[in-house]
Amino acid sequence: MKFNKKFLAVAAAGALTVATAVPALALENQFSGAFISLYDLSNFNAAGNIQKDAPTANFFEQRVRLGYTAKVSDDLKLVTKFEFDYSNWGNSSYDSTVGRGQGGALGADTVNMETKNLYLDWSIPSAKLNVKIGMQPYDDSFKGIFTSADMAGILLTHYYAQASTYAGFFRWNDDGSTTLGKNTRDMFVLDGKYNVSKDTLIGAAYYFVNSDNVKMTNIVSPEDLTVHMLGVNAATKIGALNVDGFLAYQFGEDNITNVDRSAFAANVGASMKLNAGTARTELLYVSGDNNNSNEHSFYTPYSQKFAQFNLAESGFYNNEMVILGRDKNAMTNDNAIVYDVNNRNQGVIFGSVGYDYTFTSKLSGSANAGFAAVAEDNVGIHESNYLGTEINCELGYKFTDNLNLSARAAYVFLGDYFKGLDADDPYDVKLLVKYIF
Amino acid sequence: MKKIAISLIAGLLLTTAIPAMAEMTKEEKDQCLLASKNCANEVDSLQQRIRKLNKEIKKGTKVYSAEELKKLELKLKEADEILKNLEKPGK
Repeated sequence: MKFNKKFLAVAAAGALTVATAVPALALENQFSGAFISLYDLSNFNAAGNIQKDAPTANFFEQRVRLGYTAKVSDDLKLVTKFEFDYSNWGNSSYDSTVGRGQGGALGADTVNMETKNLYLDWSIPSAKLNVKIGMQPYDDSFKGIFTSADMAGILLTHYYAQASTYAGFFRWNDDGSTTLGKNTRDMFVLDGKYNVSKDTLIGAAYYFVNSDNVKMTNIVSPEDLTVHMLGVNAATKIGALNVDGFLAYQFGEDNITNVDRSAFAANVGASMKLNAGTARTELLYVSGDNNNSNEHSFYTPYSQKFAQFNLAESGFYNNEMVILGRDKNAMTNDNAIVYDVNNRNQGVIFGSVGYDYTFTSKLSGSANAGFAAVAEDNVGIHESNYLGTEINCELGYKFTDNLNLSARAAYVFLGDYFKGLDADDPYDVKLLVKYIF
Repeated sequence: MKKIAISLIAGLLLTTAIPAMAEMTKEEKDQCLLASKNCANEVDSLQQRIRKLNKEIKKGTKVYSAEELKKLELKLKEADEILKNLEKPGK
């Protein structure tokens, strides 16, 4: 009995100590997330084929992203993000082996969790330094034409009063076929941005990719190459006009074909307030090859599993295209005539104009028109380099701060590049509901 | 001695009970249970956080020091990036 009393007293004192200690170990738990569901009616998506008598598909697609950040202080946090997709409602259920994007059929119960980000975000204010270690999202400084993806690595950022510099190392692949660390595809980053004035920003970047005999699924030869990319970028405001753009040059060698690469890309974009809306324009040129040799084609990395020309880990969305370029609303069913700027080694010439208009505080709209052509035709059987002209429009209704309903329709008048196919003009209509918190 | 101890304990219980009684009278409705509003552990959504940060940054140097403003701007950038990444397109 005596022991019990003592024990209770000690336990009570212990509990009190823990309770009072909690504030010192305060942890801010930040949750965020998105639910997006869409209905798609299209003779192009989800198959992505340009063909005669293209069948009209209709399907529902769904995505949930959940983010959790464990924040000990503003300077130290663990950032995580997970994704759960149904590539189309009704696809499968009770599936535990090939679960990605699955589980949308009667019964559900499928293992379909995808891990997107797991990284430590650590700042050292006295050194004006930020370090990100782990699987993190990374976007290049060239509107995503080179790379814009989740990747594992270390990114250091140093802040100055008017500038910031970045240095990074990312391990894109290590196929483990021999000793770990031997057959790897790595990217190194050196990047800098400088605020010349309140309205003008200039930057320069150097990226280096070393792919060392990395096996690619669906491709006979492994990838063995080096790519150096040098580029400059700038953004400025002149009165009501916002202008931004870049120039980028790539060189390096394919160690299997012994072909030296020499490719370039150039872009200019502008936007301006016009009446109650904003007018936008984008122009992009990326070099290509007329003989499919990689000599002048712009290197864009593909994922090891979905190589080649199937899943580009880059994305140019500024021109707001739906079919000619990748749709900003696309999820697992993600197809485009120009999927990335490498464009099957042909390069691309993209031009677009658009106008965003706010009707009321809840209702907004957008209209876009754009064209695309290959820079070089590497097959040589097409009547023209002209791929087509797209028109699209979008209407969005903000039901609450967190809930948006929208509709987007697009139609492409195919160019003579496809004349030999006698193909149907592609169209796409999407209805979306988006809840973000 | 026992009486003193009991009255002390009773007093302690009463003091800790007072706030709970003050929180809710017969006329007040529990808005947390009824409408998920004013809950004790309520946190801002991303959009609310961005709006609040923008509002505070607008107050400028009249209210905040340059260092504090930079901190708020960094927090706004962080919230914008979370929002951008949640909506990021792709497979």
